[in-house]
Amino acid sequence: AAAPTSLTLNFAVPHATIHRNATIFQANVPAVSGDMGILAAHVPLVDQLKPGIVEIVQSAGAKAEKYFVSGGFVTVTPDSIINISAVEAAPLEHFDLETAKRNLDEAQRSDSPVNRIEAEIYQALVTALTQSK
Amino acid sequence: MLSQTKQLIPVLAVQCQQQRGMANLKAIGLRLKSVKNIQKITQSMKMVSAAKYARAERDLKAARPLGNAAQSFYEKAEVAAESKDAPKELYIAMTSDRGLAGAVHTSICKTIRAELAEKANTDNIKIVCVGDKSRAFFQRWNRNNILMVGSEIGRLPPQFGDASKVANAILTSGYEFDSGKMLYNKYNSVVSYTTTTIPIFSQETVSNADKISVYDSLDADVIQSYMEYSLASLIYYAMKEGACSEQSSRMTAMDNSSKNAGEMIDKLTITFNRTRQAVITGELIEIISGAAAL
Repeated sequence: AAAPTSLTLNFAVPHATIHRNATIFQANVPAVSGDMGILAAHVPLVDQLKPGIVEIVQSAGAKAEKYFVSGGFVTVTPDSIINISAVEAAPLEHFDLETAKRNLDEAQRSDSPVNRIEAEIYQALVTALTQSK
Repeated sequence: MLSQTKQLIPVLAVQCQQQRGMANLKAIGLRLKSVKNIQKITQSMKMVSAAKYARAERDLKAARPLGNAAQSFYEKAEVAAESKDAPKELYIAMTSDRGLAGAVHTSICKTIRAELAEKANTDNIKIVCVGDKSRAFFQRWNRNNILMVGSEIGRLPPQFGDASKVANAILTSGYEFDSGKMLYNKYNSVVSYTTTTIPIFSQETVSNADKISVYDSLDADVIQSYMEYSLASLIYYAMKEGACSEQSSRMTAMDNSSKNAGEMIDKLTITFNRTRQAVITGELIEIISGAAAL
């Protein structure tokens, strides 16, 4: 069979659907095994996402839409459908750097498992926000 | 003393007949009042269900892609349940705590019970009851097969956190199942839902699936993490579908109840008026015949 030439994206969180059957050019995801860029006809894979930025490029050369995800999974099927499923995700512009820094300091104060996970997420958020400035 | 009572009886009989008319009137009046109250209650339950249903349907629209994505992975990888000699099976019944919702809970419970009845040996089968209604059902018929029960379901709209609690409880329960089935009510429209099954696979089954090698760099760790995550996603999806079906079914059931109560009220009102007129006529006759006797 001919290799599929387009990438179909389903990007969903439990309480909302961000993209459904959207044809895009490229998606960059923060996988646990490393940040990866996914184009059409990518090798099928399943990978866990760490807190970070998911970039969606609608067409070649277009500006990337950036979403911060708290974690989840990405699967690419043999017929070039990419499913990004995150527990929470929001456009990066919706986040405030100062509040993120404050929450990071608070989370780093104690060492319980919940706080460690919070600190990891806020750290990724602060990094993402500072890099995007 | 006995002779005195013999004289009293005819007088009492006449009074009883009057009172029987009155007693009947009172009884009908009481019944009428109680049916009117019932109609008010079922009307308000219908309104509440309609509001909850509107919200549940919106949430479901958002949750469907998540559920479809999780299911499609297993379908595309062509994971098929292996046929072992005595496979350990798990059933998850997605019901809730609240009744008066039509046949939503019983349809799931009866399907599971029918499947259990077909099997020769039910020792290797465990049931996870999400919601008190399924617990009540299975405690009567299959008490030994209940693995765990989830309560406080149905009061508030389900969240992903609730689904992950259920998934966590199942995975840490110590019951290593080979294959599982999750039964829920899939919402079709306001008046219809279908009791559907989603297959749940064990890690071994997924690793041995046909097309799993197509996936790049997929090791046991990733499979396990993905299975935990997709179990929570599928449970969340089933909870959302179930909540929507339940609210729409309750809305329909309460609407039918209100209509039936309305019909009963009409009939009772007619009977009440007739009885009232009969009592008045009876009293008039007594008065007139008493006056005529003077």
